[in-house]
Amino acid sequence: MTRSARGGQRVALLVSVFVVASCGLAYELVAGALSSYLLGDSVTQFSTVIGTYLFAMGIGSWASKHVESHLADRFVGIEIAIGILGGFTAPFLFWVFSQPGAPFHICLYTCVMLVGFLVGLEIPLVMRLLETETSFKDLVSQVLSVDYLGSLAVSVLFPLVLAPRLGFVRTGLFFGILNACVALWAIWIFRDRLATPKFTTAQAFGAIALLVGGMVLAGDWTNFVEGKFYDEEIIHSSQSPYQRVVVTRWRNDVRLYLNGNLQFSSRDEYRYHEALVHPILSSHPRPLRVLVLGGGDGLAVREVLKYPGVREVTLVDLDPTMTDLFRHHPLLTRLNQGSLSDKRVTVINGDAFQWLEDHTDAFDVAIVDFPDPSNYAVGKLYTTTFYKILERHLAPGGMAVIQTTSPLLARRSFWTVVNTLESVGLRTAPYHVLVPSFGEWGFVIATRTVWKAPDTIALPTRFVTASTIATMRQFPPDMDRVATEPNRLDNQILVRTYEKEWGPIQ
Amino acid sequence: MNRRQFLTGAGAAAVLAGCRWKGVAPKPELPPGTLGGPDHQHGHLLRSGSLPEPSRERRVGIAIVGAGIGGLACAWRLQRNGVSNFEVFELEKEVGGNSRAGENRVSKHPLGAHYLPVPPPSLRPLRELLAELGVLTGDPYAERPTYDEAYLCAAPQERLFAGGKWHEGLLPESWIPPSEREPIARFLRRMECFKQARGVDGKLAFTFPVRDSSQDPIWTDFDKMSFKEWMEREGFQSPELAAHLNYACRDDFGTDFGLVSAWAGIHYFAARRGKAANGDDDHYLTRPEGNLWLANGLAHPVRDRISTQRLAVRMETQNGAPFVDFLHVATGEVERIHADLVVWASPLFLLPFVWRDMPAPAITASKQFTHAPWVVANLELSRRPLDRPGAEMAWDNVIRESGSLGYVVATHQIPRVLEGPTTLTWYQPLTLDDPASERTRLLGRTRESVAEEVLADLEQVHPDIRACCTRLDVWRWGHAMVRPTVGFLWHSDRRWFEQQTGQVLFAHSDLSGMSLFEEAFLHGVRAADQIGTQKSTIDSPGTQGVG
Ligand SMILES: Cc1cc2nc3c(=O)[nH]c(=O)nc-3n(C[C@H](O)[C@H](O)[C@H](O)COP(=O)(O)OP(=O)(O)OC[C@H]3O[C@@H](n4cnc5c(N)ncnc54)[C@H](O)[C@@H]3O)c2cc1C
Repeated sequence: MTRSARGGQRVALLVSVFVVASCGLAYELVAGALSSYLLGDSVTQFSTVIGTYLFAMGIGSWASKHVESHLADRFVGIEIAIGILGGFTAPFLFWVFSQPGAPFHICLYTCVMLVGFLVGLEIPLVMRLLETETSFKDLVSQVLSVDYLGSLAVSVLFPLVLAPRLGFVRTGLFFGILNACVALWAIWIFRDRLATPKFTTAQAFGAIALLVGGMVLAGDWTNFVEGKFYDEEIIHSSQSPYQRVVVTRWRNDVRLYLNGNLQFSSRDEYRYHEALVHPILSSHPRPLRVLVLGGGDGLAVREVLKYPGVREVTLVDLDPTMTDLFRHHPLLTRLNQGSLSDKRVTVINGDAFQWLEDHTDAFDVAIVDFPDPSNYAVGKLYTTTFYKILERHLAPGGMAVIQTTSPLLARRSFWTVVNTLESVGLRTAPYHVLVPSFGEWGFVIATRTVWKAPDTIALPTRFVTASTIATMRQFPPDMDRVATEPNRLDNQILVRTYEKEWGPIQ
Repeated sequence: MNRRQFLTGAGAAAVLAGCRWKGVAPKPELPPGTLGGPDHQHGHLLRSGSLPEPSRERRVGIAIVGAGIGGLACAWRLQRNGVSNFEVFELEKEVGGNSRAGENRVSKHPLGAHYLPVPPPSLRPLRELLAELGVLTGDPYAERPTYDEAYLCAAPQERLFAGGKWHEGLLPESWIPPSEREPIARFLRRMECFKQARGVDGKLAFTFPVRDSSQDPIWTDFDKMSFKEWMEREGFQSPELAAHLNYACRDDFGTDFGLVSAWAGIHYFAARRGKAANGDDDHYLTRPEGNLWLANGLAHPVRDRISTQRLAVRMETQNGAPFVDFLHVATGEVERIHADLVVWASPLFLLPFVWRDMPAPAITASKQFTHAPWVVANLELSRRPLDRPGAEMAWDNVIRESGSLGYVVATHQIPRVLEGPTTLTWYQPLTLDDPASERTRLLGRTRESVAEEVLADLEQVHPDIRACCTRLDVWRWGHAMVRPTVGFLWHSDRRWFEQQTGQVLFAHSDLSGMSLFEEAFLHGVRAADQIGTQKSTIDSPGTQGVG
């Protein structure tokens, strides 16, 4: 070889060191970020992952002395292996996490150890490959400085560009591809030193193909990632024009999530829906016509239909995807006892605000089960204007009940709703109940004259009885009433309060 | 953990979030629409001077020329004062002037004026109007009356697009660099001081109507410099504040803050004192149709006394009783109206072409009025457009780096959870060049060229606006609003018109040097009340009252 050819080879190898170093740091960051994303407590996760990784690198460097011959073959082999291992770590870990009972920690640290070990081997091997050409002093300084430069590049790019744009899975795969490309390049440079250049080349191409395939499929991978979010088996998942609807099952617990937020768990929803429906319906002397706003899952309607005197139930829910799902899916109709197909029930898919404005029907009982006021659009359904319109739809002696977020975690929000109802001249009876999967949950009954709790609940119930109602109405000091302004369309203070109270919890 | 949180409002956005925004698609065809504006052809007819002689004549007690806010307020007030022998003559088919509205398949929408801040108790007649319309309930003179919530602008009210994101509010904390917070806070505190300030005459330094403000030179001298100069002189070093003040001046006066008198600029921030029992201080009233509800509310009790499509072409006032010739623009006939009193409630720029024996001081004064041209576009959208990240769509949506003022959402006051089709009203005062050149250029433009500009402007924030815009109507205002330029308010002959007490009175926002509802309205009321005190003239025999 001529001198300049060797010089070219050296530059090429230094470029590889730069890439290899970037990849090494990228895997470390992906593993650290992913474990803190999945397990929380990022300080612990990052420091244990990085510690393990550095330790494994140390072992790798130490082990490099046992590689005595075929340096070039070994180097290429290691690059391919790191590419595959490092590249697939993130999707693999996501998958493990979604498997109930799988040993996530063991898998995590095994992956970190393996990748760290191989990365630890790399640099000493590169140095030895270059050793023949450069003095040791120059070599150390060049290789190490390029190594640190590569790390710097990734540590800056990772939080700013890679993680937000590509996500963990694609970032890992991307660096895997880079690693495999370094392998290809090394094959070209050392083509006359390799034992089986053709076979090695095929391996490298194979690895690249696998990784690229992974990149392409990474979109579908989010379904697996969803498996992580929901921990459980997904039995329905769809995107309606309004929201992402996911139903999961784990053993005999069925759960509904809208946009990732839990709506109910079949294990304790009876507490929520009994508390929403029975106090008000049992207190009404003759509830003939009932209005349900929101509540497209039909669970509140299920409770309403237990009252034989009820002749008509009108359910207004925005999302036909929801009402169709809960009318037809066998598992879900078992849960709501087919309430949405009952002859007495009319399902209307529409905007509750508009529907109330456009109609004049009066109801004995109105059950208002809207999503929490987390944005201005939904926040409108908690305003003085809305409650005034709602009041017009109450028959003489009519009453309404409103689901009102958690009086414990969102105390101010809860009492804002109570104060808003009172500001339009309604009497209120606030109460709360413990629903284990949500926490302490609040409701308000609104009436024109003082509400009188029922003396008995004449139906078989699992939770609500006349005496539970009495305790539900007690507010201990940590949930006690606070003075607030009423929530109006022009201030929407509830949305801001709610955001402040729930923001830090989510 | 958060129960039942879902993004109803961003329904469509949620679906589309996955898709990529279309980049530069091949230029699609423009949505259909019309090009409208006040009737300037007949205005040109006036200047040409070739007008037919009257074929009929008639007497009325009081002839009100123009059915904008000023003319309608005058008529409304006369009626309330028990005066009935008046008639209103209006050039256009509809009443309202700058407060008119249009309508498309989705909603009504403003063509010009679109909001009214809640008035303080000192503006008694305005409070009375709002009470009469049922928008204000309870005691109309209370410090904090209760307003109909359908009229109080709903939250979120404003947002600003800057640095690639929407921020809530027009001076948003999330956007203002920390180094500028101090000067901005200081500026706002200063405005609070100006709100309290009074002159040696005991009057408020900045108030409505403008003519009730203090004449103490310590305040009126602010008129001698521009708002920009004043801001710089006071050391409010903040590019964001400067941008905001410029926005405010262009929004209210159609003029850059480098030209607007500092007095007018401060007035914008320090003259509002309205409060509501059920709204924030300085809150404002708005409807899908802009301020047309106010114009219609004024017009309703006097609707039988309004003749439309009548252009005042000639007015003579000396030699005894005045008369006005009106061209019936539909038939081409001219009718002469003899009146005891004429209330000129039309813009002043036409006056020299109409008023045959215009007194010399009036001629001098009228030459000092200048008017800013504006263009307004209404976009009918089949659905909510894709939006840039950040704050949710508000009523007023301002784009920091744009020659336009952004847009207001006509459907904002209609309470719906589902945010479907809507109308955006886009505003732009033409301030690059002097008003006359801008006006000439504007009148030469086609709807298509304006529509293209509007869509390009809005594409910055709504990349798919072309895909959901089903109609785009353009409205050109040649003489949209009078300009309170340096020196005009307190160091010109502006006040000649509002000081008249003879047989011709004036009632138009032009008189104030600021084109605002309150000014137009209060000029109308002042003229009516002045007529009340001159009532003996009107009740004299010989008057053939119409009513
Ligand atoms: C784009 C735009 C936005 C605005 N936004 C606001 C806002 O949000 N809030 C606010 O307070 N103000 C706003 N304004 C200011 C608005 O001008 C005033 O609120 C108010 O409408 C002015 O009323 P006016 O009676 O003084 O004048 P005009 O509206 O000009 O009324 C004059 C009337 O006279 C008629 N007329 C003219 N010439 C003749 C003639 N020769 N013979 C017979 N009739 C004639 C005209 O057709 C018109 O109806 C806005 C103005 C514009 C242009």
